Amino acid sequence: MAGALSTIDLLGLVVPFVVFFILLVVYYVWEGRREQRLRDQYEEEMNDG
Amino acid sequence: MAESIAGGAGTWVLVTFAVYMVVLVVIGVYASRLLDTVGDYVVGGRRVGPVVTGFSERASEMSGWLTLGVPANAFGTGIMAFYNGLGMIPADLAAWSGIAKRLRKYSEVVRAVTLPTFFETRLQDDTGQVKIISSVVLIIFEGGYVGAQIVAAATLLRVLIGVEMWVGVIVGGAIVIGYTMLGGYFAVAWTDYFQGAIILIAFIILPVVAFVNFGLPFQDLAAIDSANTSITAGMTGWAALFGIISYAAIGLGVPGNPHIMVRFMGIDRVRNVRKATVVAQLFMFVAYIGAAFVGLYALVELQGVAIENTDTVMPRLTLELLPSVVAGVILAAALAAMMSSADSQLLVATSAVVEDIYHGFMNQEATQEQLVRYSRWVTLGIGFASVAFAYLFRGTSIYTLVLDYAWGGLGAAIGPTLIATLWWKRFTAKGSVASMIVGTVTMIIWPQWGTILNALGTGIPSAEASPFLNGLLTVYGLFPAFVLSVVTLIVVSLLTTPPNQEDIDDHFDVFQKPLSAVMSEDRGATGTPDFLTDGGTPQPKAITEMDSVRAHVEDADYWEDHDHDHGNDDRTSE
Repeated sequence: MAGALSTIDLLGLVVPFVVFFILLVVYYVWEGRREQRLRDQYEEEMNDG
Repeated sequence: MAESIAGGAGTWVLVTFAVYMVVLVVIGVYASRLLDTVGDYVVGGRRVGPVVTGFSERASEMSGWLTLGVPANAFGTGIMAFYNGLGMIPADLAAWSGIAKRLRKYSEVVRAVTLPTFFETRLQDDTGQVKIISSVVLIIFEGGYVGAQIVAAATLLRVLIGVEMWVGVIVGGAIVIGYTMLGGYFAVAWTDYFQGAIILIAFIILPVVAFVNFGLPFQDLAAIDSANTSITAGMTGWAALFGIISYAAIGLGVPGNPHIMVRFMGIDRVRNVRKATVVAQLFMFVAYIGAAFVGLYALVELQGVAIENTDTVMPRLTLELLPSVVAGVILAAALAAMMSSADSQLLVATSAVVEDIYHGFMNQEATQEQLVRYSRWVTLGIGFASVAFAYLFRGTSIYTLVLDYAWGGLGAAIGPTLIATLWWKRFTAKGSVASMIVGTVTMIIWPQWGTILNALGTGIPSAEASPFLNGLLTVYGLFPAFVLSVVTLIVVSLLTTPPNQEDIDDHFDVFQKPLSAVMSEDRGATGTPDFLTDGGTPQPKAITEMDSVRAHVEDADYWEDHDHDHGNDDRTSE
């Protein structure tokens, strides 16, 4: 298949993109939680205020 | 066989190409006349939502660089060209997560639409230096961007109808300037979106069709040259390291490019940012991997063909592998996307002259009519300068033109200032001015080291004689320019008097609040803050691209509708 590529070349090609994809998933989850927290805080402040 | 393609695209390709262009103009004319409900028009608007927001942010990259330049780079470099996404993808994610919301909120606080005005107000600069220097930077490098798009358009026309490059430059330049003068926003968000989608699909189907025909390209690439299947393009040691740094450094340009940042300033629902980020990121994965594969398959398919200009490999492969009608649509979409990008960039440069310099300094009492009239003349002037630039550099690759004369300059000069305004309270106006000057000068000088040192009689040391010096002097200039710009920014800021920290503290507190808390005051009848439609001045006008969009939003009662439909929660939630 990709037999012309050495292991290092193959890893050099694939690893960065896999890492980027994981970063995207982490961001999506983290940002969602942060959004929810800020929304809750804001509603709380509004209710208190 | 492939060589005969140049200037010899089949009748159906040309017919489809022409029909697409005519349809685009018709849609644009009708859209500009009839679209009163401009929910469709708005970037990130009610109906278009986060998908188009994400696409729009990325479609601004769908210029000649990605469509023609990256495949050409892969054609010349091999699999290392996949590293074009090495810096861009994480840098874009960092921009969405670290800049987008802050910039959107802060631009509301300091009431600015253009970046120079934003910088000036944020840094409390009453000398005008920040605004002037940042405007000059925008004029120079956005002008370079327009020139690069014109060269890309000329390249495409050369492949399709065989005209000489200089003829293509004149025709492409005339189209860009005419398109912008006629109103610019003919290509509304939806057509930009579809063009981006067509090109993205092209970067999927071209490799798939090629795969069906040839299988994976790696064996053939290795047979042509083993460096083609090396992730460092056959380089070792310092050369390999600086090669990888060069690709990674491309991402440093993201925060400095106004056509990306202005999309962030146009965000209306912060809740959508997360989804828009995912769309933009997935777009990049597909586009960068697909574009590199296009170049690699072209290398396999066009073996033995004399290629005078590697920028032509993407259209050549398209014509070679796809049915005529499909090829015509893809190439027409590519040309239209270049025109649209050039239009945005020309408008950014125009607004820097007319709004930031003329209206800001020379004539603060200028009327709306004067500003619109001058903006047309300035568009014409910068447009002609860009055509001249394109003519002079028509032999340079689009990849290099964009990175060295546009993207890199904006990234080195504007990027550090933009990041620091949002993240560092101690940042000063003098630090910004010094950083922009150092970034600009370094970015202009770095690609010229060969010429400079040759003139001095020494030349760049060879890779054998001094691998480190050779690598350093030939690395992509944005890397040293960005580093020096950041160092200058920090040192000068620490040595100079900071702006009033109480004000800045108040501003930075806003980052912890939902957008609704920031947007709750000073609304007009439609709910839109007045300043959003007038570029920060008392009289409404339509000079920048985003001003145009916002003016349309106001006309469409978009905000009022939106509040009615969804209530405040949806739009304003953090």
